[in-house]
Amino acid sequence: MDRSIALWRTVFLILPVSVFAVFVIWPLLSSFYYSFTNWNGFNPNYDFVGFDNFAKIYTDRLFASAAINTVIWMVAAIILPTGLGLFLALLIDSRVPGGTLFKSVFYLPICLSAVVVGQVWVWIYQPDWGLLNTVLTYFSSEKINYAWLAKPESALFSVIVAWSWQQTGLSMVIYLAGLTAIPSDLQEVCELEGSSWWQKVRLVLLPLLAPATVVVIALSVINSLKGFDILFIMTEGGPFNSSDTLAMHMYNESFRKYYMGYGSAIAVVLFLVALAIIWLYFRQLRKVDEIYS
Amino acid sequence: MSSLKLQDVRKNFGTQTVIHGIDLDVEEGEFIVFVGPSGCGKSTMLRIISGLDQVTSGRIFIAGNDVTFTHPSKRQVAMVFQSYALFPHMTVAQNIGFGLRLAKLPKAEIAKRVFAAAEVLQIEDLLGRYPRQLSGGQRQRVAIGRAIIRNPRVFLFDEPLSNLDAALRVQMRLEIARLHNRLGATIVYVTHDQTEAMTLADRIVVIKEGEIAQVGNPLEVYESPANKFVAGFIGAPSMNFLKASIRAEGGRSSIQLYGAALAYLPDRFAREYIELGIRPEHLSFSESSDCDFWGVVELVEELGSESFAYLQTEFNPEPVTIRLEPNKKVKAGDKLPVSIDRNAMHVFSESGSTVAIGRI
Repeated sequence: MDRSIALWRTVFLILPVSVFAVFVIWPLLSSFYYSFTNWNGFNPNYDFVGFDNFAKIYTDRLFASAAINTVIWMVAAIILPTGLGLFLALLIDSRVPGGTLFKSVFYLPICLSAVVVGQVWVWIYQPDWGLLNTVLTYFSSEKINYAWLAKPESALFSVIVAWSWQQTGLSMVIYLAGLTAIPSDLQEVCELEGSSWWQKVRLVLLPLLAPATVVVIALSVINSLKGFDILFIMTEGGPFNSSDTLAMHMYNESFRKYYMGYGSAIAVVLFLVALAIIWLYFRQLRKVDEIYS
Repeated sequence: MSSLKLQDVRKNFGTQTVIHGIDLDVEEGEFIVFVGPSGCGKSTMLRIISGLDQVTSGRIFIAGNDVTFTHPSKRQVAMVFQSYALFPHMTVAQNIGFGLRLAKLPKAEIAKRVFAAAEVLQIEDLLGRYPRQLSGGQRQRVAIGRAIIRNPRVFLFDEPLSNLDAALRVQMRLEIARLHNRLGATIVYVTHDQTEAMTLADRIVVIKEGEIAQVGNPLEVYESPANKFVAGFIGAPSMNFLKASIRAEGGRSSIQLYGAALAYLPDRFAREYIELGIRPEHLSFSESSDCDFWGVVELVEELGSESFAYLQTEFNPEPVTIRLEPNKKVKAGDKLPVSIDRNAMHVFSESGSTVAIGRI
């Protein structure tokens, strides 16, 4: 009886494990493998080049600018969706009228694919008839037709705004769950002790939301490292690589320039950075758990 | 002037009325205990007094001031929660001094007052610890410390001992009683544990379904319960209730138990049945067969200091509890004669209200 249960468990596990192995583990190991080669993605013949691809990273100016953009993206990802999500969660938690409606509306973007979100924001940023310029023109004495996505100085930030708009809903939901987990009597103590709203947020809610904050920040950082699809739709890393991120740069090197070996080396670096962040995340989570258990 | 006055306090949640018009005067320095079964509205009453919940109608006065619509922090009350409600990220000192920090008092002043409160509760050594590093009893003391430091006019305790184990509960009960003697503060205390109520209270307020069933000092409530509910709720083990019939005899009525006249009611009684309430200590095994009824021992409970036997009878579906006299040995299956102390009978009408107490 026990053996047949164990057998069935194994059978049921084989399918997801196989899918995971074929689509995650195998490509991951392949990336490691190809990062030491000069494969172009098509030719069956390639050579092992040792750490040459990793050495190239140090001299690649585009990699440097993509890395800087990724860091900017990451910092913005920590500040914008986290801050906005927290603000909206606190607002909804304070029982504003129509809170449930707002919750649904703010969460909606996360249900959309990045392609849809990207395309919506391309229209919003459209120089001649886009919503943003139309609104700015309304408040201005002259017609505004600024090309938000076509200017190197504004392209990256314009995409970050669109991305933050999508991610804020996710942060908000995580913070709302965090707020729900705070025992109501702790909030009542604040009321009895006469704390202002801001004192309650600063001294009680924010520290108690630390577990949620760790999750939100970790998710934001990991998502920002993966930031590709929305960039691909909105700017393709341009103009002049001004909105290139590491993920975008990896794609360009691998599939546009056919330096699959070098692209794999970039992927390996990204993977290791993500791994370090996940390690930090678990370490923080454990610390937070210790405090609040 | 009373310290706390509740005037026709009512509370509805939607269409559901949970508090049905409560009137109560609490004197300065009095220890009042709200007791009642789960869901009777006692915690709601406490939350209404604290201001965490609003009344639907009625008024609340603290030290003569109408605080019905006053913000909780301005009512001069402090509350100790069942869960202690300590901030996990703050040390004991920060938890106790939380209110003073909000009031932006100087740090030195806060430290001084926190230490003074900690001294009262003998937790000076714990000030640097976090709640997770404390035992249940220590956490409870910290919660009380946070209440003490505010110098409130009224302390509100919401089932503060229910999360503690039995031994610690007894110890904390004693400490709360000592604290009350030392501070002389007015305390409103909620519990469902009637032992806590009996041992701590100056006066007990028994609540049933959002209404006061009886107010009185512990002995009054124990010895002269206003109705069957109070009689059954106060006292452990619970009072025995025996169904008895009434027979009219001339101008008066006799109470018939098990076919024999047990006692006479002074007036002619218009009812057919009543219930007799007899506490376990007012039943005894007779030496002879001259008794009020016979019972078969079903179970004997040895508690160390005292023992109880549960008897099956022919006339009562529920077992009858009897406190055994010291050195009295009985065993399951024994059929024994039982006598009722005529001076300690409670007679309840079918509606549950008291008709007569004691010798009738």
